[in-house]
Amino acid sequence: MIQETKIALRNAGKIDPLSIDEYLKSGGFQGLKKALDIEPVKIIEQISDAGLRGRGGAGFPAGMKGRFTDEAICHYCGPKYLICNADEGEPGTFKDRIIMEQDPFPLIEGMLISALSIGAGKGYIYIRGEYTESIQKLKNAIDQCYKKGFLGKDCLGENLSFELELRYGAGSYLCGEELTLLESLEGKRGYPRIKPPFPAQKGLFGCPTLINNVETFAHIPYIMQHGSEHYKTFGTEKSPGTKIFTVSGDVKNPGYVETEMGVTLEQIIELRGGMKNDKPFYAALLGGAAGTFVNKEVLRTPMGFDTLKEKGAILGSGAIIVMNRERSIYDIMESILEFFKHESCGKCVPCRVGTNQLLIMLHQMNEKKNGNNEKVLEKLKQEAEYVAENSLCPLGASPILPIGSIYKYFREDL
Amino acid sequence: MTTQQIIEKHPPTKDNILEILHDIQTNNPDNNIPEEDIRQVAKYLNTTYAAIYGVITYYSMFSTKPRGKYIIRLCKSPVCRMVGSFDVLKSLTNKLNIEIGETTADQLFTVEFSECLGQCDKAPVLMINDELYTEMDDKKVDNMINSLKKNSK
Repeated sequence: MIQETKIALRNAGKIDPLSIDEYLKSGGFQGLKKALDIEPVKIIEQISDAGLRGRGGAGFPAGMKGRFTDEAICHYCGPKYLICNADEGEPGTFKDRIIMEQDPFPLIEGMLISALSIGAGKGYIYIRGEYTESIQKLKNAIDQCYKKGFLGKDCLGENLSFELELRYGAGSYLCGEELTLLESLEGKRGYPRIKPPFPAQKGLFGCPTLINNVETFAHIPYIMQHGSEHYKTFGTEKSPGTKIFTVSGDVKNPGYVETEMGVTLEQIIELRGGMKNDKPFYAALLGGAAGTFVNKEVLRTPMGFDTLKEKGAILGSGAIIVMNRERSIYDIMESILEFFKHESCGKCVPCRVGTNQLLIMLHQMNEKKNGNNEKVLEKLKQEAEYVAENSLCPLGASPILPIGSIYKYFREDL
Repeated sequence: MTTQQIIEKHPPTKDNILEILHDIQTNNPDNNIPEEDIRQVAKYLNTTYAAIYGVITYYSMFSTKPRGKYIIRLCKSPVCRMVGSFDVLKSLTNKLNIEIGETTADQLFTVEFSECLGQCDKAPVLMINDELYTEMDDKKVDNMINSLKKNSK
């Protein structure tokens, strides 16, 4: 059986998440030490060379994002901000929570390295308000970092300070979208912004801002400490490194695994003990609500950003919801469309009206299989495509993902 | 602590809105942010009543209406639903004799839906204020409500 490979969770379960001393003993802040010895631009180069891709779901190259933010200084010359997106709300996803609860220090170290690379003096961790345990652990970690001088005045060298603050969301899925998160951080309703400009040019308070996911930041210390060549020995060519997958639904032991990218769905299910009650695999929802359904055809496809794309699926946040034959795709789809309807912010019409319409259309499906369901699904797909094309932000572009994948893989089962 | 004292713990900049509102709501026995408090926050942050009201009504964790001492947030995302969150809802509404979104007559419980709480490996789950309750079923709901009722006597 395949083994787990741990980078983001390398200390999880081994050290006390409340103790910076234990983190230091286990090799903590070695990555930061190396980063302090090289020029900031080299830090970004190293992250680029490692091929680190954003772990929040989109898979955008982290090094490139860093470079854009770094270069933005010449145009605006204002302060720069660093933000960690810990507003984890994608259904089926809890990888960031595991990192924050079990070993929050690599996240802070990753932020410090990133701050150094782009010259940011202030950072925020935007965490969802429901994650009470993560909030406590992070608060403690930040306090300890201040006490030890890893955060605060001159923590990154002479005249190089970095202040880090925690901010809590209040129950909005959309605030996990980077531009909406900025609006929320500025104290406004969580309405998305039009892009461009991207946060790298004009982010928080109009200043260049680098935003990364918790898991992305947690990889950075490892890359700095061990080098990009070593990092690239893990995973696939186009998706290097490891990924935390959160597995739920009809598996024997629901939970999380961190493995190299390129592992297959079948292997991940095996790592979680196989199918519950040995009932055969029927479907999996990859990436959460803004994700895709797949059938057994994809069981042996390597899990990577590009390899899954070829199959019409997405890796997304790493959420895997496993279903046996007794589950109804219709029920899950209904729950997903209710979710989008509820979380649509209402700013733009295609999404506000569209998410509602999609749910109404789904309800037109009936239980009798007289060919009507396929027609409804066809209409549903057209409508979802229209909503995706015309909406302002990624939320409106999301319903087509599950709907399109049902059309591809489960058309005949509805 | 008065509302004004709570507000003044935070710097008077708009990016502190959510922190202030969380703080006010948590310290209010009715778990809400009443009109008078909104006015005070608006004054403190030098903005309008409408701006603060707009923020409060956008976020699902905030409420302007009084709620129970215990807010039960039941996850209804796909995973919880697959394994029976609607059965848990039935147990809750039967036991408390209220519908979703309502507050019990004794002002103790309010039942609300929540989107994914990120505990999918222990579904179905719910939160009561800051506490998490996992792998819920009819019996657990019973015990939970009974012990909370007992505690608040």
